[in-house]
Amino acid sequence: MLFKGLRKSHKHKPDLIIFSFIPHDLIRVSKNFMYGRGKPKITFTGDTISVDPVVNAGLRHDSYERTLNGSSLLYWYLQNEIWPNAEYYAPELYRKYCRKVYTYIYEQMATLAKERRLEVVFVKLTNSFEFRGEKTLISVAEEVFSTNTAAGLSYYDMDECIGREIDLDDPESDSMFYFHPTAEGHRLFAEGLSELITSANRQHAPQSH
Amino acid sequence: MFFSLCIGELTLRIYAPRLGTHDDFLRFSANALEQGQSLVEYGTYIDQRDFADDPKGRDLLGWSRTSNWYDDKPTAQEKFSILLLGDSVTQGDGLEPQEVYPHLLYRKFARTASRC
Repeated sequence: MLFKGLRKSHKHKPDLIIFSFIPHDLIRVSKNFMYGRGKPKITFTGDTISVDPVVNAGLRHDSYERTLNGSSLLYWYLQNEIWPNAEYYAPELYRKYCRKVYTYIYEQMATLAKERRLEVVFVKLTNSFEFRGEKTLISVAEEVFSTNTAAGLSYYDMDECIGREIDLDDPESDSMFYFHPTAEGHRLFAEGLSELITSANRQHAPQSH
Repeated sequence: MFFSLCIGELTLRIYAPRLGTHDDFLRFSANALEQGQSLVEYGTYIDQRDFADDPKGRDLLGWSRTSNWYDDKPTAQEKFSILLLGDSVTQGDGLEPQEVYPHLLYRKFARTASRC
């Protein structure tokens, strides 16, 4: 999402970037393979930051097939899934790694905001899907994204806005925001974001009523 | 130790078909078969297809879904553009395109701008 955002913003020159995520995304940054395709993973060696080359999906599925037909599946999982994605499987043990990744994202967006004179808002969308280590990672992300050390960057928790409209502890709202929100959930997101976009700080934004 | 490894291997052999990795493999294999290609050939094919105009994008993005683009002729005095970054939640998986929040947001502002 970060890399796509950086490329798209250079192409389309937006005035405002809304970097929206659900809590579960906070853990997915540490995985190098999702939905059958490879994805980049940010790694750190001391102070050096690098992006691991994307795993070739064909080669990985091919090795999985060969393993199914003969070799040790346990070894394959350890080598291809668990070990390269340890931060994903045990996020509580890798809080430092997660903080570094979120800080990297924040810094990249800060540079972009400065260069392009645009504004970036990190928006945590309401979601009731829970994952391992959720509480820890949400607080780490909130801490990083709401530091306000860079001009033009801010953080917005959609729960605050939605919580004014509905009771988030109600089981009905729980199902409204379970992983993929319902149409009503999306309507509430649109209301909340419209309020955010037209808030006093954004003089040039389109005014909604 | 050896016994524990054997138990681990056996358990994984039983449960592997229920894991996401196996589902991904089955989907990928079916697509490769449909194309008449081996898994490795199909992997190379989709990388080349998705990043034909942007070879550097392959290592930076891996893969990404198509962006939705909402635009109207600007009727307000000043055009204001917003880039919404998100995942399948923002894409609105399982919903009609007009029910998704980026679309609702766009409609809201487009309607207002046309009144100015």
